[in-house]
Amino acid sequence: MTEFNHHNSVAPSAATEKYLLEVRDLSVVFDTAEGTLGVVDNVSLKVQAGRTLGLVGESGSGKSVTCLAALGLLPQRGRVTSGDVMFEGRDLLKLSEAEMSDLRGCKIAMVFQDPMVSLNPVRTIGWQISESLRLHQNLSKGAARRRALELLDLVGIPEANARFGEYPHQFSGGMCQRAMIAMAIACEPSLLIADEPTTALDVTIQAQILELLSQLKTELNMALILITHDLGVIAQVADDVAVIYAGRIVEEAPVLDLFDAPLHHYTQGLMNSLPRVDRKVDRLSTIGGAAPPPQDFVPGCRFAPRCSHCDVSCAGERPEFQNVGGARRVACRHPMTSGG
Amino acid sequence: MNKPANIKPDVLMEVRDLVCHFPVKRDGLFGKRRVAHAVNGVSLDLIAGETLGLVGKCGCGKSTLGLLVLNLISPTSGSVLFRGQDITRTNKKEWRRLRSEMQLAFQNPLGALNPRRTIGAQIREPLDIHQLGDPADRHKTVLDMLEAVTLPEHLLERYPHQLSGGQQQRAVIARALIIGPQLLVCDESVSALDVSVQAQVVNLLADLQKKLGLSYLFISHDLSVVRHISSRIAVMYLGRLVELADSEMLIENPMHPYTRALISAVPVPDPRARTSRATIGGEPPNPFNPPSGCAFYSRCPHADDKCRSLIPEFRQIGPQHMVACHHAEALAQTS
Repeated sequence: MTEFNHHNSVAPSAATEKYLLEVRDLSVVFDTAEGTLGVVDNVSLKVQAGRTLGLVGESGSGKSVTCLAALGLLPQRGRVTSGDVMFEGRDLLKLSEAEMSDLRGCKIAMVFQDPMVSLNPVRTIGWQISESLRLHQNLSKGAARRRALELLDLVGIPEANARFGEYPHQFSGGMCQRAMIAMAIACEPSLLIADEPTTALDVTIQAQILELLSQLKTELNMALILITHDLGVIAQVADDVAVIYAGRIVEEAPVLDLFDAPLHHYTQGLMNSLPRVDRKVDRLSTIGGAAPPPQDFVPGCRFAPRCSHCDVSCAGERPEFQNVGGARRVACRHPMTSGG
Repeated sequence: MNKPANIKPDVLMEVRDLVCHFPVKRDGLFGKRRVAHAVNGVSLDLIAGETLGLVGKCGCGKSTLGLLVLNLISPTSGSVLFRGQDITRTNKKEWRRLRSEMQLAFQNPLGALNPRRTIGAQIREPLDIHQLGDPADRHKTVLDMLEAVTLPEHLLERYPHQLSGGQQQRAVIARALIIGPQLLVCDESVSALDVSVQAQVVNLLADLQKKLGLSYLFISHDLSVVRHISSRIAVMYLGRLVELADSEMLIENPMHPYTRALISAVPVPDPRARTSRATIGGEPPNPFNPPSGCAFYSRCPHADDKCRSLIPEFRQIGPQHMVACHHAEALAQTS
């Protein structure tokens, strides 16, 4: 333990200071009946203070597992096999469970996809919001209640006083998600991880929640990691984007650059296969096949079997995640050129 | 696509004043019995060969409407005419024949497939039930259908869990289409699929429509997909239609405030088009206790006393454009 405490007192190095959170070469495996499956493979992510990183990928791509691993919340059969997660100068993977508990819900908070499932059905909304205040900030019951009422107000729940004593089943889906967000921001975290926070909601409510997250981000000067499968949400909210495919980050770029000129063929394919409400196309272009499950990952580039630009070199070694100017990185041997 | 207005297009199905109320459990032992107004007076026509998109938030009654037009549940009142014949009042024998004309593809393909039977057996089952052809013919029909939905033949002997999500959905579509229906009701058929696979299935549905002359009732909450696939779009809110128009017209020139809010809330995948997301606030009202006037008035920025007390009529406002709003004309001028 002393070693870690010592580590805390060391001033963060120049390299880590730039980022609030830096995930470096994180790999996660799951032990299953069929053997050990590599679910996340050498993933690196950087989040700057006060900015929004969008992490976009299809189901099973490892986007949620990456964040769960960073917070030490992996299910029992999951293990981190390599990498580190630097947050404010400390490696989260080396912290004890007690130290992590102090951090989670306080400095780093998380909002999950299904608010109905994440909330405790037998406790009132007010109790659940006050809980983290009493635990992390040692507030008295009265003070925690007052702060919880402020928070309900802040996330746009009307008649906070009346709703404080209600149970989750008395809330609509959108209101539950607002309550979840109130819980998450209770201790004014510097980083909020939102895992598909609007996927279970209707579009009009989704727009309200996204608006709320952006507004809170500015007010509390909070960084946000937004995990989603929806490129539309990414385009509307993110500052920087990381695209994940089959357990690896394939592309990373500021949001405008990414949408103006995607470099990875997967990113391009994903964008082309989206139907859009603002324009009419005759036929959607598609990516052949489907994203592979971990047991079917191929050596070399994992997108190669679905890629129209692959050649023999793609099947051999893993493509390097290389810098290509600006803040852009791509893991492809034959990246898209501006001409397409 | 634009037919002259005086020729009545070939109507496959007419839905007239359809109402469906569900009695729900009482509030406690002696509480009042409550009734959910799932579908509250819907009328629309489905034209042969078209795709009619039906959008709305979950709980607005769009899936109930899908079940009603297939006569899988009985309406409280109203009628559904399929080629002029009222399917809510047929005898068993007639209904059996009619049923092969209309099929359904669900949202969750794994839930719709029997986990203990092979894909091949399940795709063939409708042929067995309707006793179409001899066994050799049936096998040939199954193989043709597999090819039509681009599933490889070796999957016939597999079980549903061995297929990917996209393959499962193709199998569901194959099973629905194998007896040659005229109408396919797709209830959130592509919503559970990943984007790259969703595009494949959307294209497949378009191809099958061209090839087989199918009509689709395409139910979805995703306006982007609905716009892409539909020739006309109906928007539903709390058990009623609020707008119905040609899909280009509806997206480019929406008349109902709810349709407008819905369109502006769809996140556009273009960071240069970050909208102000000038969306409506509030939450939809409770279907157990729908408001007296326009169901949308509590969230509508243009609502007045008339909206509060009087249910707006679903009326024609332009060529092939229906809307249920008291102020549609006035609003059209402001935009």
